[in-house]
Amino acid sequence: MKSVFLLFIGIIIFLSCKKEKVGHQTTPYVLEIPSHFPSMIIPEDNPMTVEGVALGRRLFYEKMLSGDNSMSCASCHSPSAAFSDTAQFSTGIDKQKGTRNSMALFNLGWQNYFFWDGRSATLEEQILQPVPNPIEMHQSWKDAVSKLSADISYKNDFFFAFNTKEFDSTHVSKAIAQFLRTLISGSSKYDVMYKHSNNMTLSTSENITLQTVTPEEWAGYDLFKSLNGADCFHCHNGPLMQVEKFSNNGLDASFTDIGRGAITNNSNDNGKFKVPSLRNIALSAPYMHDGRFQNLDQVINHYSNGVQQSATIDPKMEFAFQGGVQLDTQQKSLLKAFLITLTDYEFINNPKFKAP
Amino acid sequence: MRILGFICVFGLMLSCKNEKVDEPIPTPENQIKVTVQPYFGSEKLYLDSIFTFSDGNQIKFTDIKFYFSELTNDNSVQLIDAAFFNYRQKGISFISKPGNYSDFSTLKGFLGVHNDNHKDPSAFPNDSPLNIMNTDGMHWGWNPGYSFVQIEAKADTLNDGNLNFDHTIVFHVGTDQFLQNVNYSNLNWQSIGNYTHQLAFKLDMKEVFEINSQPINIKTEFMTHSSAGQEALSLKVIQNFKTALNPM
Repeated sequence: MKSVFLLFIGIIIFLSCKKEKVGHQTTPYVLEIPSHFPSMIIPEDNPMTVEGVALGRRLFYEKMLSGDNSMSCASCHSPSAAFSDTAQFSTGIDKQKGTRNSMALFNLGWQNYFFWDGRSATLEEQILQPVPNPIEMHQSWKDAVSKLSADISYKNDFFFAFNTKEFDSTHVSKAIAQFLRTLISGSSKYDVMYKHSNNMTLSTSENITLQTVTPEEWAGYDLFKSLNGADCFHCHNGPLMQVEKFSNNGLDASFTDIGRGAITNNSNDNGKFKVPSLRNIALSAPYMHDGRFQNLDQVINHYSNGVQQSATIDPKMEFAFQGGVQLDTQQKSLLKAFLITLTDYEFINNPKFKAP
Repeated sequence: MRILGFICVFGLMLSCKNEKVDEPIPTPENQIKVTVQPYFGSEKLYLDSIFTFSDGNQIKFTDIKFYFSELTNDNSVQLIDAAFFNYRQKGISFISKPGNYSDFSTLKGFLGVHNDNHKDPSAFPNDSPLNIMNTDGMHWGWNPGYSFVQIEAKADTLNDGNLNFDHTIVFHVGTDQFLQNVNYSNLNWQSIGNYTHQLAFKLDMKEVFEINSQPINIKTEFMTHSSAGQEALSLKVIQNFKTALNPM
């Protein structure tokens, strides 16, 4: 009788116990968003955490993600080049080269399309592609995760970031995405000019910067915005210095790379590529989707008198009929002076973005 | 033995799962939808497709975008503070929100952006059509504000039998001086099910160019950004656009 009684008591206690989940509590990461930027929308399934950002930063510089442990994301996205590649085409671990220039990485939290042809709709999805790509890091995700799993410190980092003992490629991409969302560039001389032009309050240091803006830089800014001048403003404006869309900017009369058209299977999109931000443009040479222009002078010359007509050229290339906007030598110089104001040294030199 | 029975009952009670009690079904919320269907005369207009004007000139539209703002009924009940039509990105969808269609047998407001035109475009909520992230090139900077109407197209004006769409048409009309009042009455809301009523607008792009009172000659009038010296064409474009946009 007594043993039956004790058995029931035991069952009752067992059944009435709540299952307490044992795990690690993550720390929310607070993004430093410039006052003149829109707020950033963070995916609900990948909230920003201190642990996730730290892990993502470590993974961004992790060479184990490549088949022969020789390449990391940073190999083709160097901080000193605004997280782009100074080579026209990046070289993968098997010494193969792609056909498009590595895109600069900053302000990615405000993008809706990734890659020059916009084939990825999320940052997390984009990150999954270079590792298994045979001409890039050339390693299956299974092998990459296996290598990381063998490192006890990574096992700990994933546990602290995602509260999981078993991680996979989605956790890797989420962590790197969190780090990439912290790469915010909004502290260039241009930002001060933009804020001043729009009557926003400037900080003391911004007021000091404002005094350093030269007449040539202001004149270049006016030219940049002038619809009868350089007419850059149609596709590159606002705090992000970009209108996110796909455009044919008159590089070729016929296309060897149809760009967006290959994704949509719509011939009206042939020759169109994602319009990039012009932030840090002086650091991210070479230029265009195929890195055909080595310097800003060549870019300015293209828009001035090198524009090619084609069936899909953007109507906003309004002066295509005459080969471009026809800038004279002085105007080109002023425009270049302005473009250099888009360099954000605080961003480039930020120790939080360098290899841990 | 009685104790044992008591314990059994008590144990069963504790081990019972909480059964979910059915919640009352919420009353469905009325929805309002407004659509805009572009036409070219009697034909439905599709971007990148070829349409022919009465004079034989041919055109392919690549973008049609515009803003309405501060849409209210006659009693100042607001339908929406701002709405953005972007044919390439969103198709014919214009406004979709909770609301009672019977409140809006009339609508008035602005073609363009009225009170919010010179506010910080980054400061609007993420879901606002005026947030810089949602403007798709319709914002020009704080001083000029938003572009109210953007029409972009390529035309073939040679009529030589060869298709050569190398004549660019860019109408970007904005700035406060070109803001237009709109006023619609006797609106014909249609029930489309699911407690939703829809109001359909027709936008006749052929009329924008061929309206009798002030036609646009695309050979000579093909570009405006509402700058100084472009006032006449800017006004013509936005007035014609307003005339060509009507509830069905």
